Amino acid sequence: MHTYKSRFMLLLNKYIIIVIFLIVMAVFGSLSVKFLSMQNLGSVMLTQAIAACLSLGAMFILVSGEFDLSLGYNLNFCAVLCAFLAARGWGAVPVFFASVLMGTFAGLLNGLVVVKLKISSFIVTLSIGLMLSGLSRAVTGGGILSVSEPKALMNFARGSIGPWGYCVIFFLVLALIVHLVFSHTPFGRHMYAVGISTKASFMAGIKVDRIRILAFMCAGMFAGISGAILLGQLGAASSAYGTSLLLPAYAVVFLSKTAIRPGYINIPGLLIATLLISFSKNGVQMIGVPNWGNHIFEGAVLIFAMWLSTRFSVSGRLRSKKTQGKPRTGKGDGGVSNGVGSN
Amino acid sequence: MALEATNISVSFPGVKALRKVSLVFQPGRIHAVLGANGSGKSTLVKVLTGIYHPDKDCGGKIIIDGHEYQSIESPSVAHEKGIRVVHQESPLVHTFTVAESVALSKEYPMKGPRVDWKAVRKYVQDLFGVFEIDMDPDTLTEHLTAAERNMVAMATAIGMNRELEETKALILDEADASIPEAEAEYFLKHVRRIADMGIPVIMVTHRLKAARNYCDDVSILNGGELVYSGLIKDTSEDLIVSNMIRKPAEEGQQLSVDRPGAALDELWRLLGSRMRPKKDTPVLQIKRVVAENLNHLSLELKTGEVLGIVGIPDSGVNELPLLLGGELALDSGEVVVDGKQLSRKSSPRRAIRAGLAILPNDRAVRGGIMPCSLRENMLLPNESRFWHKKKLAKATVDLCSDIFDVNPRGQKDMDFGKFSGGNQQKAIMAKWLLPCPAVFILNDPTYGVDPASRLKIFDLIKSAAHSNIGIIIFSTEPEQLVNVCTRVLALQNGKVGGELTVQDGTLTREAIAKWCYT
Amino acid sequence: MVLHMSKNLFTRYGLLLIVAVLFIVFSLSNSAFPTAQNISAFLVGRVAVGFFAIAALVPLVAGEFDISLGYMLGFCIMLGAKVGSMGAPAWLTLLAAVLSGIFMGCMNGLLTVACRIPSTISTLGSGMVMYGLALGTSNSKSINGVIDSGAKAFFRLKIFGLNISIWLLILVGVILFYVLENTPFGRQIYAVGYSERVTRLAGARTKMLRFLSFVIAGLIIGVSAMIMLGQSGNAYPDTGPDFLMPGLATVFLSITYHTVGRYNVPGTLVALLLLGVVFNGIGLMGAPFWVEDVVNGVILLLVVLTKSSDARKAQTE
Repeated sequence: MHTYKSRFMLLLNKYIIIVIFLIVMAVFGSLSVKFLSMQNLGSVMLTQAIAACLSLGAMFILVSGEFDLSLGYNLNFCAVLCAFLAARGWGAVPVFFASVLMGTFAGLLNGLVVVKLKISSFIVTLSIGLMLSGLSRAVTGGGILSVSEPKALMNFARGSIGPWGYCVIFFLVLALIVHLVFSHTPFGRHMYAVGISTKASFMAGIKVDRIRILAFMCAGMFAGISGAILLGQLGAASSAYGTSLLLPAYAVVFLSKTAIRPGYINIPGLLIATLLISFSKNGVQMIGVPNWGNHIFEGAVLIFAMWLSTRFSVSGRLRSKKTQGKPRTGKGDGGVSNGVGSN
Repeated sequence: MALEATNISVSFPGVKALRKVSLVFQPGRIHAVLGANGSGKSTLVKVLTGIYHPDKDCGGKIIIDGHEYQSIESPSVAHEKGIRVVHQESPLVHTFTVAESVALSKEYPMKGPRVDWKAVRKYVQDLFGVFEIDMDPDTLTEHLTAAERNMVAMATAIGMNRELEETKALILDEADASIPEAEAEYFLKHVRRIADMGIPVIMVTHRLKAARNYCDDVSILNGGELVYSGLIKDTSEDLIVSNMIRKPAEEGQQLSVDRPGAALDELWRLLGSRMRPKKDTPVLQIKRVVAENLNHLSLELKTGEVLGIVGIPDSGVNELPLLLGGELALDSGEVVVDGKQLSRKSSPRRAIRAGLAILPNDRAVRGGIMPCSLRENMLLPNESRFWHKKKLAKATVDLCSDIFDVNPRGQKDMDFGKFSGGNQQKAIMAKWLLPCPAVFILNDPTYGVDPASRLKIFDLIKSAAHSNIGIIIFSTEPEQLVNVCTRVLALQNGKVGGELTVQDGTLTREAIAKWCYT
Repeated sequence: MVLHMSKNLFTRYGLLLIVAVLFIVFSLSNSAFPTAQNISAFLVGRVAVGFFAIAALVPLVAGEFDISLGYMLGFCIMLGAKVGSMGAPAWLTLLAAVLSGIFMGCMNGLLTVACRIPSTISTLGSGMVMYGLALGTSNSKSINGVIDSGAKAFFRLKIFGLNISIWLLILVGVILFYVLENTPFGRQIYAVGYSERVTRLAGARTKMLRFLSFVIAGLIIGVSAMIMLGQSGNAYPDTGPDFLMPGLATVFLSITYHTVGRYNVPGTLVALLLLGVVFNGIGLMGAPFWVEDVVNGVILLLVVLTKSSDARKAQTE
């Protein structure tokens, strides 16, 4: 049943993203001297930490089979809130917690309306996102709020040990926790089940409503965390910063499905995907391609990687011939495939 | 201890699904429950698993482990009382490993805040040991065969040690239906092992041969009544089959079609569809076709003929309609419609153009679009004919509603999903017959359809045949075919295994039923 | 989900009633509101979002989600401007804008349908590429003055007191409405959005339908780009993404009107009107600028909430 060729395909499927990543590193490393320098590697990871934290939140959303259009606005509003509070003399820790609380609260709102009022998550999260966007503009007055305090937050967001930024380490710790939650807690396991089929999960006794609401709350929490770090790094907040991070965050989660455990959203895959995208962007910049080339590259990498994964999707092919013709249960594979409602 | 159901009656508005059925399921024995679709088998299972409740004033009782109950309130109560069920669709998650899937339905063993995967794996290994399943717990669920999936589901449902002791009965609700013939024995040996642990096993199945080889007792339901109950070794296949067949009296009056075909002709004239001339040459020829289960299958269909095709699930009877509908590719062989050969790389579009029309067996998934309106569903394949012709569209839908008896009338904008199953089916028939196809293929047309609509559907089939459309009916309910078909082919192992015709006098209910179930 | 006609007239057309009521309320509270000048001004302001909403409508109907449209708008404007800056006459410049929209629509279609990449990702990726291309074409700067005054005058024409762009929007809307509700193509696209399988079994070319939905969206964006470029003669970087959320909100609101539960053109236009009336009215009453987004969000939720559960679920569930 498992021929040599299929086993190779299986391995290829699992690790091809890593291979691509290594190739990318090698190529850029050879084209640009500074690329592989500690300083560069460190600064890339530092700036990407914000998007990376947000993608952890996106993971909760996609695993539970939802779609949240408000994450970018949530992040943005939290950052603005941080600036607002900082300007009024709040210290680093209270600011951070306020941000996390706000983000979680927004997520709770999303969750309650989607689950209890049974309105499509697209519409609800869009609405709440718009409201947050408006509020953000209200607070900033349409301009930029700059702050120089709290210093502790800024040190946290900008400082590093060698090439490892504090917030990068923080992100890695968070990623580890999220990984453990998903692979080692009933909550996480149940969330996968809910994402695949709310009906089957319900029949199995899982508290589907609770899990869905919690998914939105966790996503919001990470938006809050990312927002605080954003303020720390930039020292300023406007109604525009961060809103564009929504889609790249989802992209990285989708890409995680292509590695390590194909078809299955997972943290190791997410880390690799994040590294791949971050360093590709940076590499392109380092070899002198102007800023705009970055975007093209990022888009192209995303499409290419996704295409590869659907092309080499091994999940159907290794089944023995005997089980053909039997329809499979469930609607997905640990995540929503196109976000619009699968047929 | 035995599981007993005494005097169970279940009524729904207009229908008595079970009439005073009494059965005893002895521990250590596999008890087969057989019956045609609609015989009450699944109602019985639902009563035992707490989804339905026996009628209050009928004196029905359920005895589990010596305790008497008037009814089982809910599935969780059934589970509490020790009744375990395995359905056709196993609840395993296909991207998880087997261990992960099993763990999902149990309480996770925890080591502090973390799931103790080691304990999970050990549990699964021990579980597999007890049930003699030879499998690595880290296999991905999607790599399992259907038999293996159901074996794991059974083991999970029953559990080990204390869970095992608490299991008072195992119900296999057509759990073997999805397992191909070749693996069925393996699966059934396994079921035998479970029974040997002292649990009463109730096996609801369609597989007569398997039942006779592995079961100890058999009970047959027919029209909600228990018509036979006893030891398997005291029965013969013929006995079983004759008990399963619905009696003609219960089907209502015989069909009588006056002016057959006239109504449909009117429809086609309205639409300007080209009608079918009577020809001597066969309208459909299938020549030595090979595809999946089909193994050099050949058959012919004449214009105006109503041909029935039956067979057990593995015989190719599921694949042939898919092939004709353009959903399955041909490996070799030919399909010729009206003298023209169908291309190897078929598609539904090509099939329709060639003159084939298929009514699928799963209405909700492939037959119609529930949120769309009646009109949209009915006219979907032929929208271009109605461009700019709103009046014609309305007239067509109204005429079809009349001819095909779709109720309620005049509701062309109502959501399709709001019509009853029978009416939906009739509307889908209209959808396919509108363009006057060469061959109309119906896959299990009366599944889930009320009796009145069934009659109407047969009526319509006869009309269509009279108008020279070639008709093929696939069915798992042999009774239907006797009334409409002039010829029935039985598939076996991907080929035609037998032919029953009215002419030869071989076309009887019993003969068809034998091919369906054995 | 189409509701039975006669019974639910209010449910189907209630939104328009709300617009009328609000119109009256605002007129009464502020005399500046119902003036021709004011109305004309706020309508013009709605045109860009309107085009965006109508463009986004088509893939949504087909069951796809096109997130690239915002970036596509920016790209089309920029490309047209580039062509113009190289000395091309106005008509060529404007044509270039439209063609680039069609081209990008094709690209989205190919990626999603031929390469089988889920639309959220394919359009996400293509959007990023378009953004990069837009910036690259102009080196992240703006391109100015590419349209001669003659052409600009055309885009500043007024018919019945309303700017020509409003009429163009209505024209496109009417055409799309006709196509979606009265042609076989339109019906099949709705069917594909609901159930690709049943539609394919009914013999429709579902892949082509889905592909075309992207192309049409691209075409409409191209037309919008053409109008924006024609009116101002300038192209600024970062145009486009701002319309995404308001545009989507408008499309989502459309399910509460005309064909309840289904995205549709009249609903989109009425929703556009509704939101425009609200913003303008509130603005005249002295509300600060940031209220717009909040109101967008609140109205969307409120209106959807008050509809039956059918409407709430929309085609996205």
